[in-house]
Amino acid sequence: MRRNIIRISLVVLVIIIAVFLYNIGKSHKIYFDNKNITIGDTTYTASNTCRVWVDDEESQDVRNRSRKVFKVAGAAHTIVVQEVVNGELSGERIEKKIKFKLDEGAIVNLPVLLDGAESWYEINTEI
Amino acid sequence: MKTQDLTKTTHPVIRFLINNAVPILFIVLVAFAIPLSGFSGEYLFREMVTRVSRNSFLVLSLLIPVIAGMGMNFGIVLGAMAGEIGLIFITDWEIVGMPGLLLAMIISTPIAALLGYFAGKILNKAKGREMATGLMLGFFMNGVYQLVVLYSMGKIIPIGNNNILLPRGFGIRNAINLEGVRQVLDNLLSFDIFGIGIPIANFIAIGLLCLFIVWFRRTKLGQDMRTVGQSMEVARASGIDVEKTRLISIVISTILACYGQIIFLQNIGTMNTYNSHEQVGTFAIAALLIGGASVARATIPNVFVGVILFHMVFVVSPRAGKELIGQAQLGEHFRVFVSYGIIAISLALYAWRKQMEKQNLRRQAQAINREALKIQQGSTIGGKES
Repeated sequence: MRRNIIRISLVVLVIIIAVFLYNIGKSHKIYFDNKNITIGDTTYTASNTCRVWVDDEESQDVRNRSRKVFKVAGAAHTIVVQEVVNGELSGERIEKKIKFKLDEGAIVNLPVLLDGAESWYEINTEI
Repeated sequence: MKTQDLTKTTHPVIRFLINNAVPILFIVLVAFAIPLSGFSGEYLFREMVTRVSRNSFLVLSLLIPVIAGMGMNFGIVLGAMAGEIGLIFITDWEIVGMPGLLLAMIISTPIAALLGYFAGKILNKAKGREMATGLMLGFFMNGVYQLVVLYSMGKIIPIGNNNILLPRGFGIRNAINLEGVRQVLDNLLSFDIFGIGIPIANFIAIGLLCLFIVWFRRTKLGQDMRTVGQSMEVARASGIDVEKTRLISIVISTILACYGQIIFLQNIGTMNTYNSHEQVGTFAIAALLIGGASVARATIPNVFVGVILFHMVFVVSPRAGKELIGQAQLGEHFRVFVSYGIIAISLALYAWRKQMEKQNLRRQAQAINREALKIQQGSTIGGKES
């Protein structure tokens, strides 16, 4: 009886570890769009290239009217964005946190993010 | 443990040379091939570090069945298949990094244990012919694996990632890109020595397995396995459950082989879905035998000597062949010939040794009989005279 309890406990422990590993290892795609976008009545215009950092990943430059993608693992991430003017970083350095559920990704609209509006990203389950 | 001595000579040098004929032969071969190949020492050292860290775990998984007297476990192919199934799932679910690698190990452990259990059951029914049976089991399970991966995955077993599915909607593609887990263990802890990256985490894993084997040999189960390996009749008479002990050794070996294959493939970074496991058994066994092991005796040093020598031949022989004859293909043929040839030689040597032992035993028994007969006749004549 005691032996069976220990065995079942071990199996349960392994399953819990597996679920934990699934959660922290699950990769998500974050798309960064540097394009003109209209949300409600407001139009946000993309003008400059933006440099984007996600966690410890290598930064990427998202040029005007283009899209870049980051593949990241885990549920919570830190995004840092700064504009690039004439090859130099300029303007405010904006830092945001983003959280995902399993099988979720996101599209970050950089013009909206730089403008400081609330709806700077949309969760997408099909990406 | 059975002795490896092939000779009755008392001269220690001759005994050493004869008992270590295979590794010595390969050292001589490598010593000739290295200058011919023209590879630098730095290149060879880098290659050896990579290959030892990549292959040693798999080769170490062969040791436990040898302790139990089951010879070289060709059934490690089953463990390799289980490991690949784990990798297919984590690639489908897009689990990356170390969590992905560990999850692949967790997923494949029960599959490997189950396959090891079935293999052990079958091998228990084929006592004395374990290696040939294991080889056949590998071929048979390859068919089952192909059936599962080629037809069930995507149809019965849900696979959602189109990157690994065949365009028809079911079945896994021929090659899977393991970019999510590529070299994650190698890069987990690594530092450079003279510009050569040393994958410390890999070596820690290998070291832990070596410690496990050393510890395991001293446990009650390990001692039981040694007894079973020496004589099943004696073990049975001592109250050891021979069948169960043999079965456990195969299960452990298959699970370890499954981890070994995952470590191997994370280093390569690409999985050849239908072929990666095929020659795992042959190459691991060839490496162990080249290291001086035999079917009845294999040690941890045999593993490392064997992996280094076998892979040194692998690295230098194509180039040496090209420099010598102008055709790299010759070297390629040579290394395939070497891996199969060495298994054949070792098995032949083992069979010959067994036969010699039997003959010696028979001669000794006959001599004892003759002596007994003489004594009996002497006493009868003495009795009549008196």
